[in-house]
Amino acid sequence: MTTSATTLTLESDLRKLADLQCSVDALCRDAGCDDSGTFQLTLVVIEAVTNCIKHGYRGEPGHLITIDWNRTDDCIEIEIRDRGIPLPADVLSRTTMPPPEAEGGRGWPMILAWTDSARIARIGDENVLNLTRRCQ
Amino acid sequence: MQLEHESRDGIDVVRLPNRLLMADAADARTQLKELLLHGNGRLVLDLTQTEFMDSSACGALVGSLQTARKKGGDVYLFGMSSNVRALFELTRLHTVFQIFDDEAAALRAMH
Repeated sequence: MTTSATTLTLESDLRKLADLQCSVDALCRDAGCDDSGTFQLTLVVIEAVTNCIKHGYRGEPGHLITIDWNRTDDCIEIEIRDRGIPLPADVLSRTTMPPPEAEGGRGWPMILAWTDSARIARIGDENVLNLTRRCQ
Repeated sequence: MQLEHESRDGIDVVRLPNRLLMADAADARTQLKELLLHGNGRLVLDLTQTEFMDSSACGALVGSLQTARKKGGDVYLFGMSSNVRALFELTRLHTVFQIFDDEAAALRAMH
């Protein structure tokens, strides 16, 4: 049973991520996440949305990203949608963290490490990323 | 974004901001690199105010470490929150950086 649902919309501008971080942090705390869970789930959303802006929209401002947030009895479900370039098919297999000396490549492994399930789909002209994290 | 910087006996000490995301990470990377290239390559980063950072910030810190080590120096960190430490452990960055509880310990180790 869904007990709490919220939708956030964001313009494809990296400077908007600070506001998003504050919003998601507040949603996590309202959902009963502890400090560690709040940090991790907020980072998951920031990484996913950064990916939409940087890769999906190639950093171009003026596009929309939608984040649906559902707190159910036992988990938090997040759906992130954009109309950018389709996600590469292999992103969900990027579970291995790059060597610590690498400067990049940590985003997807972080997302996958701190969620319990992740799915991607291309529905019409939208990329749809579904993430779930069980609540303690 | 302008990083706060001071010099302590030839060691550059830089305070990182409360939040470091992709919008500012490239700028931070550039400032740290300039500091390392114009200094002696010894840098201590103060994370006591840093509550949130993303993967691009991790990349900026790794970039500064590489710049420092090419110059025969190093980058030490201190004041890390438990959440940022968890991020460092997940990404294994704790294996390439020396991390200290406080500034005095970091400066002592770097001297």
